[in-house]
Amino acid sequence: MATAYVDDVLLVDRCLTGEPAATRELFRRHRNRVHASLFRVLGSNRDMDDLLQEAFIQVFQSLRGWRAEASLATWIDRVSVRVAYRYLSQRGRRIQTAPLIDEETVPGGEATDDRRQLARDGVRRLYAVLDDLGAAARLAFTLHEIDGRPLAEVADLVGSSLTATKLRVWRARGKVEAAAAEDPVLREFLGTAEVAS
Amino acid sequence: MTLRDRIPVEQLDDERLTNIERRLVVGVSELSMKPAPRGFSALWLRGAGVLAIAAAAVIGWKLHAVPATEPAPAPAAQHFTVADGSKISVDGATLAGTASYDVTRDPQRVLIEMQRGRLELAVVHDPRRTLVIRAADTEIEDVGTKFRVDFDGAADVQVRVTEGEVKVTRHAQVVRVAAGNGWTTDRGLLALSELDPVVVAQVAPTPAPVAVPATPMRPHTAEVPVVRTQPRHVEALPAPHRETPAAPQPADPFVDLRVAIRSIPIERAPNIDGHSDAATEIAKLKKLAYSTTVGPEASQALYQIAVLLYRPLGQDAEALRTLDWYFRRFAGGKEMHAAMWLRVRIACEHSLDDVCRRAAYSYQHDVPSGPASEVAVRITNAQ
Repeated sequence: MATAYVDDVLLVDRCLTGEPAATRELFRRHRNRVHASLFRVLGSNRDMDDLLQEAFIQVFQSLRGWRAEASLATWIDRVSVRVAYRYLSQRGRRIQTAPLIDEETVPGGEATDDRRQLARDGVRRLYAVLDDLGAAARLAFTLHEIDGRPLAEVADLVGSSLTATKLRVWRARGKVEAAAAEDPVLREFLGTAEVAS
Repeated sequence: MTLRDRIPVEQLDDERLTNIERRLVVGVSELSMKPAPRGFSALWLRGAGVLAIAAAAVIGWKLHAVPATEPAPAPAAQHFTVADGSKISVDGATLAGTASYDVTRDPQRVLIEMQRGRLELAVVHDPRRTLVIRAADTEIEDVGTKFRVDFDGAADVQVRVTEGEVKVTRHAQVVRVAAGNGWTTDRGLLALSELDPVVVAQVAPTPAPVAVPATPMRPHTAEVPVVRTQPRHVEALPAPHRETPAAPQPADPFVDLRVAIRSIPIERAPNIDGHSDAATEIAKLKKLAYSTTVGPEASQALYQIAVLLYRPLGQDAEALRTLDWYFRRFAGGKEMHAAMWLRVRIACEHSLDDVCRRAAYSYQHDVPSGPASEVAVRITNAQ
């Protein structure tokens, strides 16, 4: 813990001196986590290159503002969530969710064509429902329900109160469940997820 | 509903990641960031690392040089009669006053046996060793504090605690005396305001000024030396086995750091003495702090509540929570820097952990110069 803290401080110091190797190292240390979070929020890799680059540019621009009160990872996550929020707020189009599921991740482990197809369709329909949510609600829902972060952490990341975050997640969940009630594919996908959880 | 791990992440391929990285490096270099003032901390850390390795090598060499069969000498007592109020530093404790006393040190315990007089102590608490004052059948153990002991040489002992807490033991009865309180042999625990001034039996000064040699209790390990801080008359009765005086050794860096932390005063602190006064003052301040207006009075009140919770009430966790609230509510308030330093002081009171270092780092970031900032840099770099 203490070593990680010292490592972070040293790395940030090197980044602030403009050392390209330090820039690369910081990016490599955190890119997978940031990418995974952004992916779960957006549901696809479309525009991901630009978003990831934008997130890290923002990180480096405000690196001098990192006061080490939170861990560097948490602070970077906060910046990334802001970038995602801006993207979601500004986009005037639906995000096209790519088929994602591979064999290993299908519930039960025995990947059949039907199940793979169900998973693909389920994910696509889930994100289609999420596309109709506001940026804040979508962020809260995806970070909590899909990225698996505790509500308090989500509240911290999006800069809202815990109560507001809970409300957003609850409303988003209601909309997803309402959509599932009318969509057997989504219902089955969510039902499978429930069983798997 | 939980979808955790149900949506697999489609990884970006290496080519895309390399492109992003390349563009990022170019973009960052275009940001034309100036060298950071805190960049030196890396050098400092490296330097400290080299010094630590060198020190470890020297200590290792010294220890290696000790014959394995040589028995460790038993702790010996040093006798002091201090008549002019001058200060003596022993193992992180500063002793002042007019008193006659013996000091016995071993790695786990420092025992100060008073014959009579007045002794004022400022002790940096070290969980690895206890510091005990013995006056007749009363023992006073520090719990990280500033306090005073008066002893008439017979049976009457009076303890006054101005900061922190001490533990008084007499006839198997243990009483914890917190800041703002006192204790006497005949009246027990009571508020400081209830204590009368004590007429202390004066200790006659010894005519010839004699320097106190720093005599290590354990010759082969580093000991904090006895340091004379002012000219004074001292009668030193050396232990029989005393050898040639050793050169002063460097003090424990963590003790030094805590001393340095405490040496920075708490700014804008209200002048309150005693628990009941502090509680009353907090009640008054709360009315100001919790008012709907966000003015300078409210910010000052909230900060002062935090100060009072810390000292004299000793409610560190509550004080930290209050400071967090201050930072959220009054970011940029005129007590901001004082509040940030208070957070460093409280967070680093008991251990130099990550919370402490983060508070220090945050302080040095916002207040790049000044004595407190220098201490904050030392804390940040401490490993």
